[in-house]
Amino acid sequence: MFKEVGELNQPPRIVFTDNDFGAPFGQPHDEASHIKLLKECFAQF
Amino acid sequence: MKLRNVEVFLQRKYSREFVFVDNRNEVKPITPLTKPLNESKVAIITSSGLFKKEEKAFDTEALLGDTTYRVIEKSDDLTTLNIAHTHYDHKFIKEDINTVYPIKHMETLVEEKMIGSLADTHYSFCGFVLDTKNLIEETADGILNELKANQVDAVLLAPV
Repeated sequence: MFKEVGELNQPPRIVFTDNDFGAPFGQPHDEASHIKLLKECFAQF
Repeated sequence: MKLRNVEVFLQRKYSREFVFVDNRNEVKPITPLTKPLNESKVAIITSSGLFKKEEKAFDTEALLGDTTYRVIEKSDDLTTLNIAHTHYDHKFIKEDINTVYPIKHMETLVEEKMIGSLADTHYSFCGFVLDTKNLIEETADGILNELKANQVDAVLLAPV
């Protein structure tokens, strides 16, 4: 999803990333980055 | 990227009625958790177009998008899932499904006691839906009803 769409939609909890379009959680097999991002997501609660 | 330019493009190509949903001046509907996260049941909703191979694929030719959704069980073999979505490069998800649908890593968060448990069912739809009315009334409401029935406390919406 494009960052600009998220900025316009304003969901109550959102995490923006610089990851490639098509890989929102990061590069394949980069488990540490995937988990780090997941933790950022759940830190929103 | 200038969204107004994208909006005009989509209006010309698909529907003159299309506008991006703009909530910048709306009150954010924040719903607090009713229990601690480490006691909460969590589900994933992905817009990646994942579906089970024995199911009907999403209609990627639908002019305004396909507003149906599919259920993915926690127990499903992820290597058997197919993808019906023509608006993103599949090279990442084909190499590692966790780039888009990080269910394996969610299990890690359960083991680390950051979240309580994973729901038995998770949800997939095909993003790039311009029919926002039915996206809300069919897709979102349909999934919401299932989440409530399954007593899910929180969701990770994973857009592609």
